[in-house]
Amino acid sequence: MRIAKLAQFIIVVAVVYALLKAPGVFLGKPIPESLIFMYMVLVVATVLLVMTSTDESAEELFRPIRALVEDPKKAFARKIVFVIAPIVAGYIAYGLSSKGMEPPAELRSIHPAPPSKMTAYGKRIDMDTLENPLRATETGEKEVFNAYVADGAGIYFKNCVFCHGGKLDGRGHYARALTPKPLPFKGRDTIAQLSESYVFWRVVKGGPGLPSEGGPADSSMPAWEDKLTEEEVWKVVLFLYDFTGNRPRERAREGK
Amino acid sequence: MNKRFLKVTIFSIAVIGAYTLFSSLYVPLIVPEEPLSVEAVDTASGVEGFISLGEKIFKGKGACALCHNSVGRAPLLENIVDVSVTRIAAPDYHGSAKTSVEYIRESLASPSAYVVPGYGVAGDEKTSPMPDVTAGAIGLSRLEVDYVIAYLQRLSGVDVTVTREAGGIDVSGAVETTTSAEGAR
Amino acid sequence: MRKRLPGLFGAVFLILVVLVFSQTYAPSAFADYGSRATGVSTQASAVEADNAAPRLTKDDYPASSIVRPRVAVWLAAQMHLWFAAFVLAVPIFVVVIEAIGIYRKDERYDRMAYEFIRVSMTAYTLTAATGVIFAVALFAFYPHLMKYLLSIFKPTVALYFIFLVLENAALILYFRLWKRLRTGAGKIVHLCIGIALNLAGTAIMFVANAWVTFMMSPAGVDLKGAFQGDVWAAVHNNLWNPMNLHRFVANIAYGGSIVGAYAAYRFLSSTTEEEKAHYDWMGYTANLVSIGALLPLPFAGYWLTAEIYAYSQQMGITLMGGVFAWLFIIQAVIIGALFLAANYYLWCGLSRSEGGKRYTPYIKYIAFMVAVSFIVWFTPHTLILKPWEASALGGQYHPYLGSLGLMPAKNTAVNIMLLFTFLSFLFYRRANRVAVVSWAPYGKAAQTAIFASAIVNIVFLGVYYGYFTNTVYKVASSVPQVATTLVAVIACLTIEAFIYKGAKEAGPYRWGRMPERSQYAIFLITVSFTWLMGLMGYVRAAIRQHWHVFSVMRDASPDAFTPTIGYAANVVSIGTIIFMALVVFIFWLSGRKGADYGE
Repeated sequence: MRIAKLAQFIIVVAVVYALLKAPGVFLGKPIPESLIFMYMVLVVATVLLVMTSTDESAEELFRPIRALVEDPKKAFARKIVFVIAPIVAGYIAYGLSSKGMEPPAELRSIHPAPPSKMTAYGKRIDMDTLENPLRATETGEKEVFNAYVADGAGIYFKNCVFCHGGKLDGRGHYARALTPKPLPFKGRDTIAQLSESYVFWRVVKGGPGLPSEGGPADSSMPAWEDKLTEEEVWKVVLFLYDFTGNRPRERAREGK
Repeated sequence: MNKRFLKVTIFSIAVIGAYTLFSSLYVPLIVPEEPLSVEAVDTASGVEGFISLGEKIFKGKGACALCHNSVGRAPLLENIVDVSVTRIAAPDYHGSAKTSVEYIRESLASPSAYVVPGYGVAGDEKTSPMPDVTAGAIGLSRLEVDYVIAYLQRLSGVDVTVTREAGGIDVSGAVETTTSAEGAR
Repeated sequence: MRKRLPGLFGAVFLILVVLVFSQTYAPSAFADYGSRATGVSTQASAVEADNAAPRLTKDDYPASSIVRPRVAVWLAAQMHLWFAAFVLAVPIFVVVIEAIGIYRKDERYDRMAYEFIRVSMTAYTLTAATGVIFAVALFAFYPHLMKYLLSIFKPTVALYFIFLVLENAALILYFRLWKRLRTGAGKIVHLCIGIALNLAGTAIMFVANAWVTFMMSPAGVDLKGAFQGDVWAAVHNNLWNPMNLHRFVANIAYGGSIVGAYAAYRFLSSTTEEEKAHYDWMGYTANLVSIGALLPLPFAGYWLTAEIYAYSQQMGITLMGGVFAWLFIIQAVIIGALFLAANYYLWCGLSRSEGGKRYTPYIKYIAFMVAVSFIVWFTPHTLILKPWEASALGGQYHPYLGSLGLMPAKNTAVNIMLLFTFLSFLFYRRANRVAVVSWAPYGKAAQTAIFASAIVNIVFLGVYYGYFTNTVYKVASSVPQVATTLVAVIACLTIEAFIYKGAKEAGPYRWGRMPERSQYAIFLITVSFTWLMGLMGYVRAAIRQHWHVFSVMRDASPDAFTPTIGYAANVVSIGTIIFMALVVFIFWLSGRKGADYGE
């Protein structure tokens, strides 16, 4: 059976749209809406051009539409379409304009480059050589290490759990209200990619300490410098890695 | 006014309108950096003012951040003060700087005094692609170079030693406590 | 009207001469004007010990409460450039068409050439008029800059006017003698006058280009802008030759598109079959010239960009990587639209012949490939993301689409788009022919093989050099890719010529049997060209940022800031609409009298 031109047109456009949406739905890596919009404008234009390149095909494409408007026999269908079309258009317009308080799209870097030195706890800290002073106990004194981790867990559940969640998956009670979302520590793409000194910097300086490329005041992470001691922060860092089974990123030994 | 003419006109204006809307609504608005006004440079005072002017020049007039950024067209300068000590000692260094401040100043005027491995011009590791920023299109004045050095010192996390002295620039051991004296000017 | 035209033109021209010469030989008058207008002494800036470029303050610029000085100068310049492109391009186009007519002994070409030179006579007047407005605006709002430029380019201004006189003389002779020199040796003499007209016109453009490029890449002056005395050095600066080439080629493309729009409009308003056939043919020929000239334009553009990089890395990076990165996405969209329209016109052209039906089923595959290439071309590297998209992707780059945003992918896409547009053209040419040579199937197989291997080679070069080698080689793939495209096109055309030697016609060829829709494709091409010229003119000037003469003379006026793309788009759109309205007016003037070729 031969498919009508108008149906072909609708099918092609719908299939392309589905293909463009697929990476977002199935793989969790959506193609940005702004780009889909551009792609679809192009696809609709191209399909229209192809279908109107000969007189016969153009005639066949528009015949059902013309018939719907002009043919007295289709009066009923016409009435239905003339009622539904404005409603659909209105619904789309409503959807577009009722986005609420969504922040504007910006160019934001999630893990901006840290400074090479910072001032915290009344001293200058060299980020290049900064190590977790408690990490050494992991190999030698296992009980001491476990005690540190347990302390870290206590601090975590008193301070961090509300946003970062009881399972360290970034889904605490407050998480849904925040943009950007609190980072999960599980998985291989957050703290597993970072050195302990980086995590230390982010905890101590928080959102206010982000450089400008990190987005203007985007992160709601507090600066913990005044609320936790240096040792407490290091204990939390130990706990984060220990609980999620991640290893901190080793510093590249090239003597920069 | 005939119908055909009207159709063509509407079509043409629709095309122009589509391009205009695309350029002003879809394309993200990027506002070019304002040129640093001459007055702003003259009224700068204090170490912090010094550093913020240096940052402005680094990202604006000096065009440093076009290349010295995370894209990697040129080396990052976030630790330049410490790094410069090892560079001065490097065997293929052929400048005359003794301190890190001298090294930075020299590099701004003659970038090829030391070329970081991998950052030479194509096919010649001995020549730097960087222009002399104290001349030509960028043309930083001596004062502006000092602003930049102050900014780079802050970036490296060391004390800012370059400040303004009467009639010129000093590279002595002046420290951050001069802020109040500077501010009075 | 036609009798008065040269007189009117002469009057405007005279005003221009007097005006500019008075500035040339009395520059001090303008320096005074500048300071008087603001009531502030500018002695420090106007009087320099040597002849270095003046250091201006914002008081050196006459203020105006009526217009924004920069926007006024911008629009006047753009208007003048559009008209200049028009009147430089039309004679090129007309002479080429006349020559083809002589070569083919086809009266149609001659008629079309004459019709067009007649139609565009008014455009010369408007070019001169906009030129005067532009010059007045410049001297009024930027007196110190003009004084400085004139102090260097004084001799070339004289040259400019000599060429202008020559061009006008040639133009008047060319037009008035058309009917008297119609046969034999006379026709050849007439053609030579036409060529002289073009040489003079191109020379004018080259002189003006020297002034423009000097402001971008000053040469012949020291670091402070003091002139060293060698005018040729200042003229022959880094960007002069690339700019000459780029503007020359673009003018041909632009002229073709304007002629195409004229023909398309006349086609739509034709009442007889004969008229329809004539204008259909005219539109087709003009469009072919236009798109043909568009193809080498990117390579002229590459050269210009490479020279900009070579002159100043800062200017190059500002152009490609910084504030203006998105401009090239807009450019991609517009050029993509141009290509789609050109393809569409060729597809519609299949209906002119009976044999065209054989090729219509292939349209959709060509369209698919053009669309895919287009998609790759305008996918940006840094994406505009909503917050939820950014959090899902974890950054500004897309894991799958990110690689499409890089230069090698775009080069590959452009070459493939060119090849498939060429395929549309090939099908169109074949539409009404039936090969008679016995080896035709082998010839076609060879063409298919060449075409397929060209595509494989282009994709391989793009993917291999783009993603599997060092950064240094990334852009290096573009040259072999372009070479592949050119070789494939030339090889296919050569084989084609042999296959269809003495070919039979499948049926009568019917010029004029075109759907009306197809003519809108031509309008789209013309409008897009005009708009794109304006936009690229903006970026060429804007990469100087806050300099009058890059690195030598700083712009201290309140308008020194670099406008954003959106702002520029608005100005360009307003300019395009004014220009288009004037062009319509010109055509209307000439249309009232009707075609008078046969009289």
